[in-house]
Amino acid sequence: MDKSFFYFEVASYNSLILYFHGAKAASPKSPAHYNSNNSTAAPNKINQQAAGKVQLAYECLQASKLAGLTELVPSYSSLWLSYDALHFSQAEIQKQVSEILETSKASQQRKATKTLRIAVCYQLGEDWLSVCRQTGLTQEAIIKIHMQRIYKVYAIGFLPGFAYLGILDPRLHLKRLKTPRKHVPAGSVAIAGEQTAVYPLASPGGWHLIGKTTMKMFDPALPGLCPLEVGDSVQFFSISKKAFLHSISKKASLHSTSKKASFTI
Amino acid sequence: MSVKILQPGLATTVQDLGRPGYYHLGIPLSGAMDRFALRVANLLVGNHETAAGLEAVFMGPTLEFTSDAIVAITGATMPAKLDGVAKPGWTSFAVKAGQKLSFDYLRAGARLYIAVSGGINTPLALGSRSTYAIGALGGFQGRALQAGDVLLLGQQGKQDKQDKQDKQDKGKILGRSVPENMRRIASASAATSLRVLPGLYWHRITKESGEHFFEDTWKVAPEADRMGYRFKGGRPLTFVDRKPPFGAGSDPSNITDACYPYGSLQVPGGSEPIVLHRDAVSGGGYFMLGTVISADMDLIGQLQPNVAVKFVKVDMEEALHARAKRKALLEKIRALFV
Repeated sequence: MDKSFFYFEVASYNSLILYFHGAKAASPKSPAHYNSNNSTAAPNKINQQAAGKVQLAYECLQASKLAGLTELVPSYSSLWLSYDALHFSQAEIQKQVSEILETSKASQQRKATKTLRIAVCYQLGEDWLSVCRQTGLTQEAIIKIHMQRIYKVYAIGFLPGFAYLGILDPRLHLKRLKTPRKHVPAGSVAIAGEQTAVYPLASPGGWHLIGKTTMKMFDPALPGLCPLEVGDSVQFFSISKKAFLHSISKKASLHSTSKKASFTI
Repeated sequence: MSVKILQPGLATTVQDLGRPGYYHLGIPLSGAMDRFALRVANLLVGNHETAAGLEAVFMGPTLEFTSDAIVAITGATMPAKLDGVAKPGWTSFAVKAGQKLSFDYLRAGARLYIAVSGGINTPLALGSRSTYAIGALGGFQGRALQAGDVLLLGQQGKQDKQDKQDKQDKGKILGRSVPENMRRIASASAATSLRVLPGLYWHRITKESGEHFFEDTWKVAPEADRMGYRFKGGRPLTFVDRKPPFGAGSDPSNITDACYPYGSLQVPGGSEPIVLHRDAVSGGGYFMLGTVISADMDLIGQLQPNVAVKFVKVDMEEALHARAKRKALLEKIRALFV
């Protein structure tokens, strides 16, 4: 990866945020990068090139096993990294990370990703009235559109196991709620902007709720704690309220995982 | 070997020094809000500094001990009473089986730390005993303590594995006390200074606005908890124009969703800054003005709602110096209790 694709910002005494450009920047330090978006792309869209570079950098740095590098948190166009400040000075860690990224190649072996198929009871969505009104579509049409795409996990965060999934069909793009709800139940399937997600825990939230699932997005009993990793894929499918309640009472999972990588970056 | 909770206080939780390594899954560090206070409380009772203790906010719990133990109280000033007899803070004292420990009302600071010899022995969750209540993880059943809960005591003492040694050491441990000039207690009178390393999205606000941010006196808002502390009362920020990036529309304080570092200072809508603390949400779509330096994060944990705060601009060198200074203080205290 050419060094003009990324730059560092200091986040704290022991952490940095690496920002990525989708395309080569004219000048790596030009203020255009501050939108954390490629200036040539439409600014209001997920920048897939930048997201791909984040993913590549994340994998390379994980694989490097660089001693003293303590945590890596990828997002859409940035990667937070923390380090042992007794091990590295800020200049040293930047140098070492730059070297790893500059020698990384997109062709290198990709980590195996998986596709998780999540069963959703759309009937239990709480916001159908407003979502139908705002999109001008019927509930049936919206469900069909929501199920049609395979979504990619761009980031995990906010709450344990909250996976940011994209890209939602443009017909379903809605602004977040003006006033966030104080209580969104765990398992709510939601949409906002270009994204969709499942709320792993009961929490406040500003997204539109279109369904419910029994899929546990965070489970301390799971070896990986969360069923998804950044780079994995998700597809939703519809189940009836009867099937939903049945799966709860029988504790039978309707969700499934396939190991095949569905796309590459 | 246990402690029974007779009255839980407002939100008393089991905390150690936290659970690093899971932030990429959205699981925050957690652990004591005032790490210095917990470390020192543990030192006072002869525990490893990493042992789990109790953190009580604004109001202390009432505890009953089923066995003899050594106890120390640090952090906020909330006078302790053992069966009604006053006990000093920042000093270890003996508790006999059957005795009850209670607390008077809060005089200064916000969070009290209670260390018990052997440490609180709740199960480890992802390598830590810290309670992360939002994720129902760690501590006692993943939640704040309730009346009737019984906490087992463990073997997180330094000499727990050598019984004979233990008896000899007991005398050395009892009565350990931190000299007053080494205690860190929030002042109730003057405005607390919180040092900030500007950065990340500082360029989003106007130069004038950046100056106001450091000139104004802010007050701790009622929304102040383990996740984050909100501040109000300063002038709203003014932003530099831009095209909104992918994410959440036209609000100038929005960014493309990104990781939030610990201590990062976000200002939703440009009006009320929030400093993310130990139970931070790991990411989101608000811009960050900078980061409160690590040496001052403990201090935030001791702020009550409505107290005055000034943000003070520092550079990395000053931030590291402050950190080294705090480390040196802890080192001095360790040296007292070898």
